[in-house]
Amino acid sequence: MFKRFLKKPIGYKLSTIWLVFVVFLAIFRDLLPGPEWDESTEALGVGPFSPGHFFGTTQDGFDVLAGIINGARLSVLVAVTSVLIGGGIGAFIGITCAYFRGKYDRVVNVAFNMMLSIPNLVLSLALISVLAATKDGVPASDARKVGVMILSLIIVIIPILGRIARSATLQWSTREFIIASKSMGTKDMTIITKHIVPNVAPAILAIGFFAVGVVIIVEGSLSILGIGIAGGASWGSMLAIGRSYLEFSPWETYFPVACIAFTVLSTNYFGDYVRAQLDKRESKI
Amino acid sequence: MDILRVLVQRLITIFLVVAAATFFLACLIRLLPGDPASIMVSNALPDQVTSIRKVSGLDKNVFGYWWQWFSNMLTGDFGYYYQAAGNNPVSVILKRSIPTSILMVVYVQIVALFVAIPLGLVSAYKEGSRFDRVLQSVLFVLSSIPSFALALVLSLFIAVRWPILPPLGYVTPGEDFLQHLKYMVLPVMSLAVGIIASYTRLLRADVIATLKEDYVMMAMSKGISNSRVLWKHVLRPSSTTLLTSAALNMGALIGGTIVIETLFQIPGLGYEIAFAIVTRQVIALQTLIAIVAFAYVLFNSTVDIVANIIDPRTRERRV
Repeated sequence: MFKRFLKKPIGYKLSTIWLVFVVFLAIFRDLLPGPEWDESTEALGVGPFSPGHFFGTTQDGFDVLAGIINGARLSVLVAVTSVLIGGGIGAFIGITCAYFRGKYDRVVNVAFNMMLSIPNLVLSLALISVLAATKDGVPASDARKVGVMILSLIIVIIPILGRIARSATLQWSTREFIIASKSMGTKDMTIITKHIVPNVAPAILAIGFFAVGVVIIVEGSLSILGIGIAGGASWGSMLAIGRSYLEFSPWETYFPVACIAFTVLSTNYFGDYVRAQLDKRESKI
Repeated sequence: MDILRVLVQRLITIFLVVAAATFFLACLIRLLPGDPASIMVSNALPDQVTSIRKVSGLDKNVFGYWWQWFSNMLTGDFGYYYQAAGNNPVSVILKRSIPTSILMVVYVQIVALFVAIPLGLVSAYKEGSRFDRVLQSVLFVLSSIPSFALALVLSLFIAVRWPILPPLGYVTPGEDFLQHLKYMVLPVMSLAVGIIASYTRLLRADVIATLKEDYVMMAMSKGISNSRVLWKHVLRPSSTTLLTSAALNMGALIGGTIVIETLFQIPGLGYEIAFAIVTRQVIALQTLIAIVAFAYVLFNSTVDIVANIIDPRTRERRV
């Protein structure tokens, strides 16, 4: 396996290394040495590479490196859960729609069109501002905000992946081997799981990778707009705080921005890679 | 007539999709915990809440509420910002923010196309060369950088450290056109870079395909200069995908400018949406989102119809 990895293009290696690194940070956050992310120190706004604070500290004295390590957990949590659940539901709906057609397909198609007619950031904004609202105007707790954010992103992702799954399935469901299988009396669910899913999976996977990037960008955007996770607990939230001090301590903003950019770059790379492999396979058929 | 039928069908679909999307929004508003009227105006007096509920239709059920709001929209009444001091019509804000957003989106498109077309042509012509490979990697990286990241980097270096451009704010072109352009450079650049990358990649793929056509070979063998062949013979047949996706981008961009408008304090639609969320003006928010959705659907359908008229092949492909 390692030998095969070495033969991959350089972008593949870098992306893998970065994503593995981020997931590693997310899982082993508590075991890593260094200052706590939410404990203020004496050093206010010291630059990167200063003793004890490799990435510097924020104007409020929080260690930037610790914040980055801590932020990885939330970013990974939000991105992975929302894409897995939303993608799973979307793929299921899309595949069954394209396979069974009829009224069900038409109704779902209208619903998808409706949801896709609202740009994804706007839709998640609307959903979060409604779902995270509390009765007496007290801001919702962070745990609730994370939950709401994941739920909203799931709702946003379902039509995106559903649409892709549907169009990919439409191409396959009229192929000869599917028709042959149907005429032999194979159960619908068997055809779907044995014949359709393996064939449409790469297309869904490619878009799934792009969706992870979209989710991470949306998380950052929501924080900038002031309705995301507050207090520097995620990368987006760190840069939302840091941008007010851009002139004095730009590192506060640049490290989280760089992390967001690298992560999006890596997932986009994989999305592109899977799609290129797919094109190669299609052209052989 | 065939085109007329397609047109009518399309218009009905647009209407239905927008109606459904706004109904979905109306349901969301009604799902808010507590009473939207008292959420909008903090410390409102009871009779003020009653009047807000009456004016906005919040005293009816979801469907009645939605219908009042939707039919008012059709007659040009876009609802109000309900504030303790009184009600401000949303249409005043719309008059200012829609042109601002459209101007910004148009600038982004112009800049993106101006850069992407030559880049796409040259990199396709030199397919596989070092220039092409380096450009492809650079473009891939640029297309993955979120626009807010670029905006933050650009504003530090070009506006704060080296103050040649204003860091934030907006001037309308009517007041002072030169100032207006100055304020637009940074936001437009942050949005355009990612789009340049995707446009260049699209055009490159199509030009590579066109360059393999016999008539290009013919033109080349006649001794016409390479640049003339590229610009006059290759660009036009290869530009349909690019132009379609550029047009499709218009709607998406209006939604996508929210963060950039907030970062640079440009009073466009996106900025107003963010403002309405922060100040919890749910009815204004509903109207603003509906307008973005409407613009988005309208652009998509127009592109479809125009593509349909220009290139009849798409008609058969769709069946």
